[in-house]
Amino acid sequence: MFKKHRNIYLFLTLACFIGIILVFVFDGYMGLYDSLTVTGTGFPQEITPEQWGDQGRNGGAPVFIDANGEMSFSYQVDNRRFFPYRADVDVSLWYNQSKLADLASETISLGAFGGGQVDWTLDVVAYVPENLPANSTLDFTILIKRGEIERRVIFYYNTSIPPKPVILPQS
Amino acid sequence: MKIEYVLYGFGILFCIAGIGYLAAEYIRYLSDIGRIGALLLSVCLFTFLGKYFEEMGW
Repeated sequence: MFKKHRNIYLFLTLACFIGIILVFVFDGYMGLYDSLTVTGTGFPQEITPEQWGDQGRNGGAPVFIDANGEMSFSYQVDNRRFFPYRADVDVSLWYNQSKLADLASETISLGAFGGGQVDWTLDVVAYVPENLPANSTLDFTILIKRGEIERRVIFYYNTSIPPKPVILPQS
Repeated sequence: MKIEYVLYGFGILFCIAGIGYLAAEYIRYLSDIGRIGALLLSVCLFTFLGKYFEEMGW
């Protein structure tokens, strides 16, 4: 009887251990995760899945950009579930609660434990007012709609940063 | 030292290392309920493990 009683605590310990593993697998790993990668700025920037939670406080995940140049965006969606996922992704550019342009509109179809991405480019200089004072900062918002989910990315355009030097090929 | 205890030690170390890896990689993605559940299960794990060793007379 003592041996049987002793094994009960061992089995309960193993059950708790397996429970912890299952919690991390099904709550931490499984699910739908999206991230955004921005290149063409001073350095590549990535907005990771856990950063989207800051939107409630800041209005969007901030990205800092240089004064000019074309930026490339890559919005990746990772479907870590046992069933496929399909959604429409619409990306638009906003400033001061006004929509400036539609940047991308695609339908993504992801298989179980599959991934996909939507790519687009943006030359923000084309949307900057001509009579903008020197040393000004503008904040644009990129709105990414994936089905019912909205992601906002705020990026700051600063005119005081000098333009990128153009390196001419040596003849 | 019995070979069994050495194997037990290795097993426990690998289990702790595995949970440590999962915690480092995925704890930031856990929901609030998941975090509380993992915390409670951890407390229960060490409680039952302590009771097990106590019953063994250690």
